[in-house]
Amino acid sequence: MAASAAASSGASSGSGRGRSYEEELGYITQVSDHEYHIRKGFVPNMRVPGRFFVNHSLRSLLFDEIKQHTTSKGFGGFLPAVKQLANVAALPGIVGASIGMPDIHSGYGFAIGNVAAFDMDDPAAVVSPGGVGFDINCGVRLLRTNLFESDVRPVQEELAQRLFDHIPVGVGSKGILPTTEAGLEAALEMGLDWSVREGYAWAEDKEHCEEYGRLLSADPAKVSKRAKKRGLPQLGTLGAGNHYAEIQVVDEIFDKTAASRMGLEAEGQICVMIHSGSRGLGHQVATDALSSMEGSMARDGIATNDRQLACARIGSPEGRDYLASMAAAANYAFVNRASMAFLARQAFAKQFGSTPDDLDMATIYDVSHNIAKVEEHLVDGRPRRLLVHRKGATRAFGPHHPLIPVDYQLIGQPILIGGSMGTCSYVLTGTDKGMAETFGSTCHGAGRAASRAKSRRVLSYEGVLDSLSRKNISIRVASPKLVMEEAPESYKDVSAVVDTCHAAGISNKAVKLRPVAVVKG
Amino acid sequence: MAAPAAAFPTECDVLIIGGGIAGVSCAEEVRRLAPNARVLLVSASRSLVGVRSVVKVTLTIEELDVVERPLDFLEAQSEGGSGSGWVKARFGTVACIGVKERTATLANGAVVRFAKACCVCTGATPRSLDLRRADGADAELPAALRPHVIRDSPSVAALASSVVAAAVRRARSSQAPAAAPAAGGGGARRPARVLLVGNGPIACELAVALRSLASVSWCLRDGYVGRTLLDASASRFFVEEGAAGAALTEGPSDAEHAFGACGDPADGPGSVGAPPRCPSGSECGSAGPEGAAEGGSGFFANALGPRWVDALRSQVAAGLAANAATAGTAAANAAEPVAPAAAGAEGREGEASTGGRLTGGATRAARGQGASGEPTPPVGHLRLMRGAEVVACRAREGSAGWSAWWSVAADCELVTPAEQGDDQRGRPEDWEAACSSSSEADADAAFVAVVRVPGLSSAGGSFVAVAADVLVAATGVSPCVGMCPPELARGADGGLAVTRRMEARGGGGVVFAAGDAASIDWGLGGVGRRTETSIGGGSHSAATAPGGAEDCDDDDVDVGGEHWFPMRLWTQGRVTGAYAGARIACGAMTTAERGAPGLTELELEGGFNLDLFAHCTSLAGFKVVLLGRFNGQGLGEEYEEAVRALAAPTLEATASAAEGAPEAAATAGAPAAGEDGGEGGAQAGVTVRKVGRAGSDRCAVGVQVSWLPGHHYMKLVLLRGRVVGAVLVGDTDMEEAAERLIQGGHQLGDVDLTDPSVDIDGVLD
Repeated sequence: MAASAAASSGASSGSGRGRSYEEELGYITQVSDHEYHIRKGFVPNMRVPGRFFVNHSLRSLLFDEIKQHTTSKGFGGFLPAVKQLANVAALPGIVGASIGMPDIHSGYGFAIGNVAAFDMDDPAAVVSPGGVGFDINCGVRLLRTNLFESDVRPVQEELAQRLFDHIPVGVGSKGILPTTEAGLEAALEMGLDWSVREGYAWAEDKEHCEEYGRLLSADPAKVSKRAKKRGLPQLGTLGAGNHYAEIQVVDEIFDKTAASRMGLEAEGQICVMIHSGSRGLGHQVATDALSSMEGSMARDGIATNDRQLACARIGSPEGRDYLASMAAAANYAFVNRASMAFLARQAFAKQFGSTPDDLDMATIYDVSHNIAKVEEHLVDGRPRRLLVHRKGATRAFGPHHPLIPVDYQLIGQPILIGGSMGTCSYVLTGTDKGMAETFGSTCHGAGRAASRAKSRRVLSYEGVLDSLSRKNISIRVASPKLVMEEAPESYKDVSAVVDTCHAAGISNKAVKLRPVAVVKG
Repeated sequence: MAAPAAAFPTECDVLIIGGGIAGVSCAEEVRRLAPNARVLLVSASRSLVGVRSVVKVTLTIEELDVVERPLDFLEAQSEGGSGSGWVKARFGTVACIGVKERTATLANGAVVRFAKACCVCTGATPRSLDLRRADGADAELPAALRPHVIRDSPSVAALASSVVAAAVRRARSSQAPAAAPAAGGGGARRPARVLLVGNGPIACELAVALRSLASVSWCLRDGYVGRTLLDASASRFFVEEGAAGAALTEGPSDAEHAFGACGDPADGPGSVGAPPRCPSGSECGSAGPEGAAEGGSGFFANALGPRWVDALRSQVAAGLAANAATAGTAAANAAEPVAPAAAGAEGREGEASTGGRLTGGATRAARGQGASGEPTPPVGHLRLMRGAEVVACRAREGSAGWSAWWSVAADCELVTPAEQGDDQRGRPEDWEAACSSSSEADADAAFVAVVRVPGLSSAGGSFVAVAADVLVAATGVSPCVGMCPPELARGADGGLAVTRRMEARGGGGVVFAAGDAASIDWGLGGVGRRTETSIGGGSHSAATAPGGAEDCDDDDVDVGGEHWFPMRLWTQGRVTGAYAGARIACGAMTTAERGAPGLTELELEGGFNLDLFAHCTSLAGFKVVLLGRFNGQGLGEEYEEAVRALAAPTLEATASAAEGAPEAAATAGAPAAGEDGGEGGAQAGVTVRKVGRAGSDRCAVGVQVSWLPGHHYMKLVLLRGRVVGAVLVGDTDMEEAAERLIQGGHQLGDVDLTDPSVDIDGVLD
């Protein structure tokens, strides 16, 4: 136990005070075209090394952050993502390495795009809400259709409007599905099972959801009243910010077998992608846990490099309570995405005078990219029970893994990578190498390259709309500023992110999708 | 419109007293949740206040469009709804409430019985000045010393006619050769002189409204304008960035447009001759480092129509025009196009077109557009007397003499007992001396007031005489709950003390209160909660309470979060009114009586934001958002110190020109001192974002401030490294982030949250 490291503030901590940029670089080694290692000592008390995956084009974003940090005076922005990665490597009970994905960027305590696994059998090992993120079980769901681009183009605007009308978007939007306190409690406990029971989801949707859309460890009683108050009116809403519903078209198929297993037969086929999470409820669950853990850290003598890295021993009351409430929030997010899928199915059925069934609007898969789960992994050749934190990272189980659906056993788990407004999205599949190297994890999206404020300043509303219209993409946005904030220019190149993962072998490219219509908060 | 007396119901389930925003919101919510309820709203005015639209800026921040509506609006709106109930609004005044009997007696003697509940939404009335004969004699207050207070349309009309009458009188007397020379201006232009006392929203609105039509002396106790909503640091933004503060003190009309007032003529050359200077010299009259005014729609007393400022202006202008037809005095002003309906819209347009609005030529251009006709020189001006207090006045009697002195009691809400000492307020001989040494005490004035202004050297300050024709008091409001029996407990501010269920304490679960009439002591997480319970003894047994709800037995109710507190604003009138309505429907009625299933506690509480204080309005043409403990509410002296450190003129300026980027601001200084400030420098032609930071990790309270001239001002209040409040002026685009930070309690003491290159939203995903 390295209790010697006094808990200190974020910006000044573990930064190797006074080190020059060149000295900092001395701790980082490039091991391949796509992978870098962070040596112990980069920040104090590292128990394991750090690793991150970036290709040449994404590299500078991370290294510039470090350079800038060495010249700052301890007050300014957030810690660089690589520093945060290393600070996580100093947490008690961490196993293997603290791993960064190509889309990594600074977050609260943990970088977004960080995977960290903790040993369930080590009594000192911790769980940290910052390692999950505030939008618990934020994730992506992909629906297919049997429609083709030629069916949609003539009614594109109409369909976009219909989708916008059906799905409650934007701040302060309220769910249109009737929910009561009793309904909320049931949703928190049952997740997708509740949606099926209430008729908002198909039974076969379950099979194609991570964890079958229900975390059994959920305990609604551990979710605070305040969290429930925030969550009740928002159930079944998309939210604002980077959340969206998109009508997409298959642009390119890289892996015909995998695509075929998913029911994607040819280029031009229409899909619907939904990116949403647990709304205010998840945020409140995280907030409640962080504040209770700040108390228990002192009691249990846990010291961290960064005060934002509040955590608790997995077996402590605070740790157990968090995991139970996090699971409930995750179930809420599953229900949320299922509700949005229900509304999207309705919109399509109305538009095409058909039924969702006849349009074959089945769920291809539903992934989570903000979650912590207990999983079994081989560490140094021995199976270990680990609590894997994935924050801005997607589970990517390889072929034959027992936890993936039967029909995907041969191809590996589908991984859904949402692009930003107007850029491509991808479907990847999990690999054996990912199982061995990254606890079965890969990237989650593009990751921000420019701050929202900068995007608003640099980009023009008309300019972004023009460029979307040139690409023949319809857009419906509740809040105009999102047009700039979520513009492709504000994000890292999602193709570079996905290519890095592909080249590193932690996931395989299967299908590329491009947007036809975007609906946002 | 007004229903005939015969149609006045004598029986109802829920009686709502007051047709302001709280009463109307309450009625609508009861109707929504209890379609079988018979709801009667009694309004002392022949119109209702309503919310036409709500724009959600964020989850908690709402922009309200408040409008006046006819009395029958509620009824018409609820027609065709389900359920056997009804909603009726009637004109009337409730004289007293019988709690046990469940009756309300009207001023005309009629009695209304309410079967379930009564909700007091009677708002607040403006306080006047407390004037007493200095010699203790019992005498009638001279008419000239009876302060105007603004409470409703008739009082606005009365003020307007007084202003016009005074102007006419002065115009006439100036034609006499013996006219006193004091006011100057060659006789042709002699506007009414108005003495305005107070520093609340109404005072600010009045100052802005009258400044081009009359000669206004504005006397406020505080060191800066807009005490209710701004602190000195926020005030500075408006002074330094807009002509606002300077204009308030320097001359006519300079800041009219900036305040969102309508159609102002541009200021012409050589207007009125020299405005009277404040005899005390630099301390008042000149533009200090602080001073700004509040304006725009959004700050009105409850019973006032939303466009009262415009009404006042148009009435005064019309009155002057009518009288000027013969005298030719104020014809120019009459031509001023004042369109009440258009005014609000114009203010909003001004808001939409951002950038450079308040600076030099741009402002003038904008003002010019406001007036449709040829710009005309205004007659009025405004002089600001900060830190000043009216201590005494006397009225003109007959043609030459003066009445006895009337002393003005200190407003006990604003000053500590120690400050109320007589020695501070002077004696008649002091006042006489002030008058004789002043050129203002001309025989022409309707009255003379003696104002104590803070002295530069002497602790007691000095006395200054102000001659004026019209006295206006806008010193704040007091809850209007006179019709409530004494068994209903009063809170510290005189309103009805209410529980977390909005039940009036002592009301046995039958009487509720909301809006300005209610006194809420459970804000800020109940920190400030007092335990004064003057509940009338056992005579009113709890047996009358249908829900068996005991007073104060509200610990199970989770409203009033640690970042929420009550304030008498539109937004809160609406939320407390609706919340009380939900409580009535769910707590005081059964499912059958409602005709609808009730809400669970969680569903009910979840429907109202009583967790995070959030207010959105406009001020000097800027959008203003106030969030959480925006003014350090409940943070005590440490916050005051942090703000003082920011406002200090010694703010250390450390240059750092970083690539000319506008956001290239650097903080520097000595963190160990718990304060530092910096100024992002850049080359000429590039706007500079100024940042300030006071407090640090080691201090409990910290403040981060950033402002970009003519663009935005933002202030974040931190408690132990966590954001607990925010003031966001202009285009900060920080509303959502600030809301998330306050709700999330993130540990961010070392992050420069005001730096636009720091992506707060992205980091918190």
